[in-house]
Amino acid sequence: MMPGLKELQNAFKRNVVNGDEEFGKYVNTAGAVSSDVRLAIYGNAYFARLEEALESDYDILKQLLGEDVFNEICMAYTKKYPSHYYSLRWFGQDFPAFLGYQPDSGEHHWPAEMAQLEWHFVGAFDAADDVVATEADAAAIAPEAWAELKIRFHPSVRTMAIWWNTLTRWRTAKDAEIVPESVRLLEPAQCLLWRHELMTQYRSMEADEAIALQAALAGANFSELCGALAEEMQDQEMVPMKAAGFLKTWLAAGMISELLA
Amino acid sequence: MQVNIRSGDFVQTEMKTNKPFLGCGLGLRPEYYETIVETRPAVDWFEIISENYMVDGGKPLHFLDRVRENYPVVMHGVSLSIGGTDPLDQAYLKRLKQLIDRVEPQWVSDHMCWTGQGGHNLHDLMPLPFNQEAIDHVVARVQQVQDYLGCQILLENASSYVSYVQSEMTEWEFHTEIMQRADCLMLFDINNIYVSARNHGFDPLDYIRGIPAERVWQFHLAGHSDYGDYVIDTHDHPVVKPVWELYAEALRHFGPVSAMIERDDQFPPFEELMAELDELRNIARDVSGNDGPENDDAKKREAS
Ligand SMILES: [Fe+2]
Repeated sequence: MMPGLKELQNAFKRNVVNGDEEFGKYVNTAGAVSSDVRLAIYGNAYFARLEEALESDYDILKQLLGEDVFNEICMAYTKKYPSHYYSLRWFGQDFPAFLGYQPDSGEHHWPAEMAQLEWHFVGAFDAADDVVATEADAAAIAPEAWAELKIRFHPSVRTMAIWWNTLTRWRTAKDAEIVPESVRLLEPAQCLLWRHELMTQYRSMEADEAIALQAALAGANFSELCGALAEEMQDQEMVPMKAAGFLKTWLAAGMISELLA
Repeated sequence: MQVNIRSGDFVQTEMKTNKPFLGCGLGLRPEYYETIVETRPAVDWFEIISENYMVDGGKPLHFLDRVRENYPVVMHGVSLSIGGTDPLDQAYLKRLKQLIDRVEPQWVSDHMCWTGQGGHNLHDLMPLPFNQEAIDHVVARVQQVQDYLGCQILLENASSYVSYVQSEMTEWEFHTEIMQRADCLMLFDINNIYVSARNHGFDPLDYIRGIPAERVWQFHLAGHSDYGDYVIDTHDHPVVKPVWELYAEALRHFGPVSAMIERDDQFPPFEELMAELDELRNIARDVSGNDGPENDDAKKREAS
């Protein structure tokens, strides 16, 4: 019995993905070009297209690992994580996890961390658009409303902990400078990414800013944010001033969409 | 209240009765965003790859909106999988419809192909066997899609490198029956016909003559990679002479059809694409005496 459309597509897919030979018998062989050569066009294009998608998402990682190693990793990833998305935009999303990124313990090697950083850049690049609040919005808030004030951040804002000198290596590679060897940091650091006026931005944060930002991102109001900061700081009297300073920095950077008084 | 009627509105209503002619266009690619927005080149219309704008915000949608303010836009998708045997992807269709509402395109197209199976997307335009089973299958799905979107869709002939022993008819007979039964339209890719004709040994003129003119609303032209015994549709070279000649033949057979050049790799300076666009115009003018919509904005810009 002749196979139906679904069986044909399944056999064709298996040929493309892992070279399964069953589909060969359903291909016309007339002409100068063999069915193997014809089918290889699809097989090669399949992997090339997926690798190209990973390359554009993980451009610096590729540069630092070198073409051959990156190519091998892509091949393995493509086998383990076949695309289930209608758009290639999402194909690379499991790459950091595939490379062993451990967000909480930091027990990963630098490529995993570099991949996570680059994936955050992808996310910040096309995150939802939103309005941007200004210092004038902050100035308009009544003094008694500050304690309960909540901050709605721009949808592009992301943070990540880094255990390696990943940020320096990313920047030097991007600027075509000499890239330092990978080393683990003495203390994990915090990195911030967001988009302002269509451009993705990034910088590292001191521990106190990271604590304040993470509290605010988790929905803390201004007095709760100060509470979180107080646990970190020696001089308790400086806490409100410090928190207000961070808020001002975030507003100036275009990271805040709305102040909810 | 002022009612703003944009040319895109007819997508929702009387699409079929009157074939629009947009003139000569280009594919919108991120490499040229700034140039297009800043210099407003004399391009009659742009085509976008729909999936590239199925994102939440940032640069892609920003530039899409800027381009749309100044040009007619058509939407061209690669993930509909109209010939696929998995159920139609409802999440995809929903996103497509949202984008249609944002862009108000002149029309929406995808390919006569399947793109994945068993939930595994190959992200390629896979060929169908040209037989009755596939026709029935595609016709039913086109009807579903058109009902959901509320407009007719154009389906493009994809390039192919294999043909199935299960095929019972020519590719043009296959397309024609589907278009007539599902009442859909065609995006006629002239380069793909050249590529497939070379790969499968048919006469591209038979293809052109086999398609009913009233169904053909758009042309694609592009470059390819020629390996002698076979040809691969790579969109990384200028259009070659035999494809320009086929374009002229197609114009003779179909009459004026909105035409555009696709470039997806080895991007040249924008002026080189504009020079290819001039070639597209020259041929349209020579063959059908018509290379663009009258009183068109692009023309006015050119004149001023
Ligand atoms: Fe095309």
